[in-house]
Amino acid sequence: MAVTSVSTDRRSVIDQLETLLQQNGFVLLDTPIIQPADLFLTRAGDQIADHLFTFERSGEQLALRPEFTSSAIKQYLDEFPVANAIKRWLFSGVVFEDYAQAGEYQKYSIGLELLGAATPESEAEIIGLAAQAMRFLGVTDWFIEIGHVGLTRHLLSRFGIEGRVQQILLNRASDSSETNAQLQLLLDKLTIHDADLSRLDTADQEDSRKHLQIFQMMFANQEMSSVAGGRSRQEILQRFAKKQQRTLERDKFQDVIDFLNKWSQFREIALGAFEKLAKFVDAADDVGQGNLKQWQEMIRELEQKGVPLEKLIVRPALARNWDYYTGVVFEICSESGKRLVGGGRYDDFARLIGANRDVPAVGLAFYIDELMPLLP
Amino acid sequence: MTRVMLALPSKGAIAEPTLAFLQECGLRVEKPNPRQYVGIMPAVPTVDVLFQRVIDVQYKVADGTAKLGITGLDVVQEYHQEDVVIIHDDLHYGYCKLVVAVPEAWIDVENMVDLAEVALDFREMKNRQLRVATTYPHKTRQFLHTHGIHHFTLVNAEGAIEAAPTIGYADIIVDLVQTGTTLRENHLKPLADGVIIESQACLIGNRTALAKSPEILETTRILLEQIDAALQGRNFSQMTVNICGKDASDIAQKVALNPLTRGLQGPTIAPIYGSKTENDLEWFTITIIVPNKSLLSAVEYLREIGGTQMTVSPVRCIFLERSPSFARLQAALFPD
Repeated sequence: MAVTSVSTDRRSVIDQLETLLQQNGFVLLDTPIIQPADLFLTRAGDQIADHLFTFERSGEQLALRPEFTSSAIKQYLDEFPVANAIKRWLFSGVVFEDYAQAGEYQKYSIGLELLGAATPESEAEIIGLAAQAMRFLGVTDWFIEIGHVGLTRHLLSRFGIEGRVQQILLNRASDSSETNAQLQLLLDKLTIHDADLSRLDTADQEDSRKHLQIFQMMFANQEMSSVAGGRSRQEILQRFAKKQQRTLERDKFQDVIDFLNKWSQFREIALGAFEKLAKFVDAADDVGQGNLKQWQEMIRELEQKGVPLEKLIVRPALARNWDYYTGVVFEICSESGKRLVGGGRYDDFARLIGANRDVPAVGLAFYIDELMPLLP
Repeated sequence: MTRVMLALPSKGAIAEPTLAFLQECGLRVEKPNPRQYVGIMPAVPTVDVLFQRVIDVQYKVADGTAKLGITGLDVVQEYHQEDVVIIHDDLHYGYCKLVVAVPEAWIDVENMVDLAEVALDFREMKNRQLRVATTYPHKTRQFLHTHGIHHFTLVNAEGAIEAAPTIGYADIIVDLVQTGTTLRENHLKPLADGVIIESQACLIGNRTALAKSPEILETTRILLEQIDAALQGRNFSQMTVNICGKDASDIAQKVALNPLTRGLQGPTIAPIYGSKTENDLEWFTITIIVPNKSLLSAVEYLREIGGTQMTVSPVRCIFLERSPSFARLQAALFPD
């Protein structure tokens, strides 16, 4: 566990980075290391849920912080309960994830949050600052990949398939380890396939009789508001109908998969990429065109900030956490594929933890332990 | 000689079957006083038997009170103990499955993908988490996570878990199932891809004690020899058959022609004295070991080549050149 080893180098790098970021207007704040687990679980990021370091005290489920964003947004909502204000916050400290198998529990992370600003400029500010930090630290081996979750989601929605299936296909598109056969099996499970239908037929007499009874019971007894397991008759039937609807949409799934395959292979160097990207977006699609335009603006902004364009790679389906990013996402990687910085826009986040309004938010995290070996 | 404490389940579904199994292996356990929690194993005098609750067996083994124990694979996996080594995980009894089961009325839920979606619905539409009743919190948590279910509350319960969804303190359950009858009676159905552990009885040991003490290891070897031999023996029958032929090698050839009747090494053939017939043929008795599942095919083949008066008796033990389970244990304890 690298963090526990005494390293003056690391301390000095952290100090330098903190200073640079503070000079750029970010205020260094602390967040509690121990928080109610719900705060992090609520964040739709299911990848976290798997590895969250949780424990129980006095009946409450607690967790060691896996990141700073959840606490930051919570604090922001406490400070600005009604309307948004622009805030630049900086966090620095260890974060925890439970990878018991690898014996890895804590990492050092420096996080930036730019809250209350929805413009492409705010995105360029964050990404530009990350690039500036690379130069400042003397790291030469790096490039930036920039994607767009908002645009990806929007293009997917135009296929008109149900939201959950969309989400699942999107998650699977970034998981290259899965074979087509596995994907098809999953899609089968999402729909009502022959095996289920035959249950209602005669294939298995007892099963089908039972099914029929339950069906009749559910339709006949209008009074019955709740059945076992905390779901009402209506909820069950609604979801059953949704599954049937999906079964009818099954043909469209393949179109979506084909689109996602092409979309996730797209990877081009900066501005030139937009001409090609435009082919994916219908001219009459205002939302899509708007996304593209803002995205392009953001990249121009980066250029003006002196980020070398040859280090900027446009990769629309860049897979970060699909569950909570809403717009531009980015990663700075080394040529050897190590992730040094990652971040993006997550305007829904405040709603995810219970707010009744959007809080425009863009942020990043520096992965200090990955950065260290690349320093001169 | 170092005495070796063997912990056995005192009650529960695998308590009686364990004693029956040991008896079948020639390792009968005697319990001098039914009210006491100790017993002896006359066939292996170095063994002391200690009766414990199924769950406690492995704790006694882990802390070294008992050096060996028999319990369910499900509890060993659920309450993983650092110093416990699984010596034999295929004792062929005490079968059960730890499964995810949902109310029968959930006609829209057939698999774990459905359940994952329902968990999301709970969260988004009911603003609460799916409640899962179980006595296996660790394995359940892990399993649900790997199936993309992250928003759930585990309700720890002791016994009568099947009733939880009806009573209303949980939505679904994760429980041990042997035949599925209890589930059906409580209007629950198991999910086909919701099997978390396929369990049966297993023999466990204290890793440190086994690695350090040759005497404890030797007692373990004796037990494994008996267990392996009995488990092997179960699958085979011994047959004797009388066949008439020119001489032993003529008959041997015919019998060995079919792999089914060749026996483990080859047929044993003995002449029946004074059985010479007029045309100079002679009767022989052949003894072979045949897999139970091929018994009838073997009988039919032997008839074809002139066999008659066949007897079949069960094989109680088959000792091979050494106990395969003990070889595996040695490899696990001493990797070099």
